Amino acid sequence: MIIDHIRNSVRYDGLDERLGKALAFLRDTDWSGKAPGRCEIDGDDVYAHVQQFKLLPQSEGKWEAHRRYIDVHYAVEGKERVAYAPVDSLEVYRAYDEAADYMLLRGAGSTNVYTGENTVVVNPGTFVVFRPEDAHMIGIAVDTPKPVTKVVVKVRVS
Amino acid sequence: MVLDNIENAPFYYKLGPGIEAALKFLQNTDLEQLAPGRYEIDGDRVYAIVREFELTLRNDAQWKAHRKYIDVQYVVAGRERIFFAHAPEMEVVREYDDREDKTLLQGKGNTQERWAGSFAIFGPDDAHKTGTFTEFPRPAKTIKKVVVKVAV
Repeated sequence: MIIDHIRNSVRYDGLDERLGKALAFLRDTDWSGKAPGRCEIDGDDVYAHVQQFKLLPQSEGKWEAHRRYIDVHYAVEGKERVAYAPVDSLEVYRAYDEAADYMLLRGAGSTNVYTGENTVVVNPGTFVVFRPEDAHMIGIAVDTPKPVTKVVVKVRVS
Repeated sequence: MVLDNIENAPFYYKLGPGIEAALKFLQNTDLEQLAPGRYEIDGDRVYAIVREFELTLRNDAQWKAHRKYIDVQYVVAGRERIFFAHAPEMEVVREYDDREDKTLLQGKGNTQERWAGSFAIFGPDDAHKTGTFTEFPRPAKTIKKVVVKVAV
């Protein structure tokens, strides 16, 4: 799992060619006023979704993980709470769905969404990379549920 | 900043040859048997410090950031709570000391637990506060850690 400010993102470009394209796309795009929808970067290997949605109360957070794609989450407007735990520290709750590239997990990990311990507040300008080993809970409100604008870049595992 | 378990270390080798040397040292050394002290990996450019110490309360721990070295911190035994934040957004409480390669900071950050087998990589922009107790299920009192210093 990587979390850093976008101004430091060049350091991670070399980790993986497709991840490098995703980070360059986040750095080089003017995100102000960008409408929600899909952005093409490199076919099905690297693409992004601009999302605007209302954050969930903490009690509704769900652990999820993917296998075929790495997720890069980038906060444009508004603060979001996310959490990370190794997939193997959780229990599978809904089996992996190949078509949706999605599985749900449950367990505490080391996370307490109620107190915010072990969760991470993602401020605008920060990006987070979740690899297939990294279960994540996203879209949780920092205090009262508010709308956010964020970009999720999907990076196909090489 | 990177947080991960040591079995996923190879993905991060390309962060640089120093990071790769640090991670390989952590992967290939019998760290449980390693006595506290300093171990050279690549002279002054990459070296490890093994420490066993008592954890502290979070309010007693100090926020810091480095400039010349990246920290690769690995937990051998025990469990700790770490805090992290973007250094430029923190308040400086003691200016950078070149000899200690350290700026002391204060402010608010995020927190995660680190368990045996997990590592964190803190770059110069990553303010961090480490070595504090976790709360549940039973807090460990002491911890054994390896901090590999990697020249920027």
